[in-house]
Amino acid sequence: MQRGLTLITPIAGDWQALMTLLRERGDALQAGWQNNAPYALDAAERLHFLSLFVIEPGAGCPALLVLEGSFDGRCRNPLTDESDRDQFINELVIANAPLLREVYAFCINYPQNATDQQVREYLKIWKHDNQLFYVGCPGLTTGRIAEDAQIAADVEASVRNLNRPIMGRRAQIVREIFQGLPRASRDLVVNTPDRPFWVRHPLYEQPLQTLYWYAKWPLAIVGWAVLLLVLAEAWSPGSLPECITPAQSVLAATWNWFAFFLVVAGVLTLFWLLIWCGEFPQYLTPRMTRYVIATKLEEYVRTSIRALPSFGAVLGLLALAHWQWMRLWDFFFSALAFLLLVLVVTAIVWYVRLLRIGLREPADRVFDLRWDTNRLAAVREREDRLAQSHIISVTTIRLGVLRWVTLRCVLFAIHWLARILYNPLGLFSTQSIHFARWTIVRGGRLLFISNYDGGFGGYLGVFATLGAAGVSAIWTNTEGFPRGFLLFGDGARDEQPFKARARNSQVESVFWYRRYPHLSVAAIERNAAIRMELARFSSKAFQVPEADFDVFLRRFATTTP
Amino acid sequence: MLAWLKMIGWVYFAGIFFFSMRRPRFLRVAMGFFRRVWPIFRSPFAGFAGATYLVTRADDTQEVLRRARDFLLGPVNEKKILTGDFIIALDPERRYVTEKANASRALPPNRILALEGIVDRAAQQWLPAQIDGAYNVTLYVERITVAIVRDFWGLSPDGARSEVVVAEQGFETMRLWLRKLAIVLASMEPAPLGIREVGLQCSEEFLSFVRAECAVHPQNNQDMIAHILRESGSNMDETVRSIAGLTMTGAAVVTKAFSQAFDQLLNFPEALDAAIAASAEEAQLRAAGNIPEARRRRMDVGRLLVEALRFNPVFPVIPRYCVRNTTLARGTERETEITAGANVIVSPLGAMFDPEAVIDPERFGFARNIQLNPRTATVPDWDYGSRSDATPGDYVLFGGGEHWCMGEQMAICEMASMGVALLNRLCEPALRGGPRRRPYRADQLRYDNSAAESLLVGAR
Repeated sequence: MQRGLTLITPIAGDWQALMTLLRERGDALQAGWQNNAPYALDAAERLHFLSLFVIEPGAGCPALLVLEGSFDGRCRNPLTDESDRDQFINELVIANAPLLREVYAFCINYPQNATDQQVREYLKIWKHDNQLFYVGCPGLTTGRIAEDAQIAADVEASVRNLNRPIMGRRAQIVREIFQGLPRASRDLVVNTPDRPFWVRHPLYEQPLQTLYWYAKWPLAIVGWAVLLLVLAEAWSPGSLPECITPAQSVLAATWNWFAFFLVVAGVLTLFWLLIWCGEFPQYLTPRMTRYVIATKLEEYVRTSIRALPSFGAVLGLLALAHWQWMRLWDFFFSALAFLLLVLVVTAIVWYVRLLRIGLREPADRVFDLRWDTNRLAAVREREDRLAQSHIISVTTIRLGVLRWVTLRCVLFAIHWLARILYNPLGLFSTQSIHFARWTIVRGGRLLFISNYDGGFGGYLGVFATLGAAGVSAIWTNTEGFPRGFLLFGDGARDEQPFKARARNSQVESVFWYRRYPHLSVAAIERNAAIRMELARFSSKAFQVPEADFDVFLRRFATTTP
Repeated sequence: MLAWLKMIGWVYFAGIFFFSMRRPRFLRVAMGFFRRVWPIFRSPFAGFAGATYLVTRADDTQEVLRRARDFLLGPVNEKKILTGDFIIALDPERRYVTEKANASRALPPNRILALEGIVDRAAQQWLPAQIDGAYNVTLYVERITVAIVRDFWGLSPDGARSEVVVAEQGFETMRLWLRKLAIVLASMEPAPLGIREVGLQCSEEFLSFVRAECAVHPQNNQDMIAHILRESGSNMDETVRSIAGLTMTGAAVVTKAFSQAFDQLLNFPEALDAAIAASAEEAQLRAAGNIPEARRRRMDVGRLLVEALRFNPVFPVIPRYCVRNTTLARGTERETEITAGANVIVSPLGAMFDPEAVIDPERFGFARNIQLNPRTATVPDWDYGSRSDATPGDYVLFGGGEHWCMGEQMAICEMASMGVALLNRLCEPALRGGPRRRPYRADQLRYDNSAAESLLVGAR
């Protein structure tokens, strides 16, 4: 899973000189992309995006140098006990120590003539937590993205090599495409790693199936544990410790449930037999009759045996319900009471919040903003280059604990909801964000950084429409944002003032590194889907529903039969 | 536990399926109910059995059948046609186009006349000289279809021998092979109750028999095996698959269609009288040597049987597989998004009783404009049915759209010829010079799974 690194360091020297230096380095990097020139940071294999920029000094706050990077996560190193971020800082220093030395020489307490080790130690001091870190393509590492792109290109080539007009059964076409891939690509397809479980089992898209997937094994284990206790007590009464000994009433209830299930299964089987006898194929030789009967009975017995584990689990859960029904009721009522309490407290806080906001923030005017045309021109100069863009925004959080707490809560909620309710269409259904982060920095400021596809206008336009509720919930807690209503309402829906506000808060993206500048989120997901679908088809010997093949082939519009 | 319930539930569903398919009146009421209340009905058991839609209006049914690239027949049939893919298990693509063109070209231009002759000869052979007591009409039809397989398709049943079905070697074995394979085709997938197991064994025997026959078949014969061999460039695989598939579906459709049509005809005395009169006239005209006029009477019988078949069609429901997300009945109040992978069941029975398509549908229409297939209507052999005005036919007896049955004219011709011979024999006076008799149903139509098994008819 990808992670974010944010280093925020106060600048001791001339921050404008630092800006100039970063701008020069950034321009050189951008010029290289046009020719696909390699760059030193390519050596940091886990790195997706990295940027270095300066936040200008504010009231009582020095200028800040920010380094933000998005990289592929690893486990903690057991030998050095280094955290993942520390390991990544080491890799960054190995990849491009000269740049870091040059840049951090402007910063506070930076050791003169620092060795690599000192640079590492220095950087680790300034690690900063992100309140919200969003990953657009979870589980797709830099290596995987490159592999997927290569496989997708090979598949395209394989499609072009098919005989035209391309017509035939979809399964045959896809099999032919798979077999037409180079050996290396086929091996990669067969060994496609899984994506994180919340991507494979999206609660947002398939709530019931996903909940079942989550609950299946815990329920089965609990059910069987209880059933074993019941069986042990029935087999040898008094042999279990008292605390886990089910009462006799539980044993009786379990037996009753068992009998009930047996009767239901018996009745169902009886009707099954009656239908079968009534519709049994006629005019068969005795040998064939025996064969049909044996086949069907074998199927019945095999399926019944396979049903036993889940049957046992259900029986165990029913026994648990009988055994602990008082506690279960208590738990249920406690949970209900807790929920009510939370609702009441939330309502009170909300009401107080509304009152305070009404008193403190009577009128905000976005159109009072003053434009620095030179700065805007510099900002816009670095936009719309290749597939992706970079936006940095710094806004001031409104005064008061209430706003601060609200903002923290909203960021915390979105951070986790974006995972729990993973939406394949992206955060706020934008499907253009590679990585985004919201960080509260010194001086009561909210820093927002995003690596996204397309242009500023389109991106903010989607925020103002599809993602208006979430965006408003975050930024209505900052100054100058269009006025919201009950946290989620209005705000960003007022599109032009929202865009003006965003533009005004923008910080110049002076140095920005990206590993795959030509790939959008949609392209990355498409490539990944091509690989995963091929892997699934081949693992099932191309015996999958026709609609799945159709979806695959329609990714290559010209080949659709 | 879910798998166990699914196994049991599938057999229950099969029981309900067979029960309802054999009760056309019940089905008509049910389809009428759905047509009025939920013209495009989505099954609430989507999570358990996959998304399924039932379409009952005539216009929606025609739309589904016409859009053969969105609503596929291939995935539905490929596992049910155990003798291998042939035209009706393929979707509009290269192999489908080639094989359908080969089969179409292989059909001889004089096929309707040839089939009339074959049926007449077989009827003379199998009908008793005098029908006393109950006579099994279904068995009579099955035997004639085997005679067609022998004389028209060129597949001699003489060497047919089976270890699966109990039947005499030859003719009877072939009859039961065809029936068992047709049962799988007209069942659900996967076929329950041992139907699939029996079908698989029969298909092995039948295929090896067809393969052996095709391998030694003289290519200069004037039958379908020789024609297809020639048209396909001696492609043995295609010939075997096509012959096995076409004979099986052809025999199954005609047997069931005639049994059900004749059964329905017995419910309408006026229609039965008309059919008896037309048959008698046909025999008189033929005896007098007026063949063109005799054939016209035979066509009248065919039209009566087709109208009777509307009340209990061979395919009361036809399944299709929706291969991509699409919209059905766009721009109407019924507009529905159909998801990719959904099963779409269209109901020809519902469509043919849709008052917006067929006026006064509950009435037996003697002069309805039976435009079955406007595409084949322009060919010279449009003998049975009405001249087309190029509008889609209101009758959905033989499928529709791209997969419209290419042998529908042949099927109606066979049914008409069988009907004429049977009615004339049934109505012959018991004594020379005595009053003509009238057929009656001695026992209801019985089924062997999804195939017709017996319809006992007497005369008095």
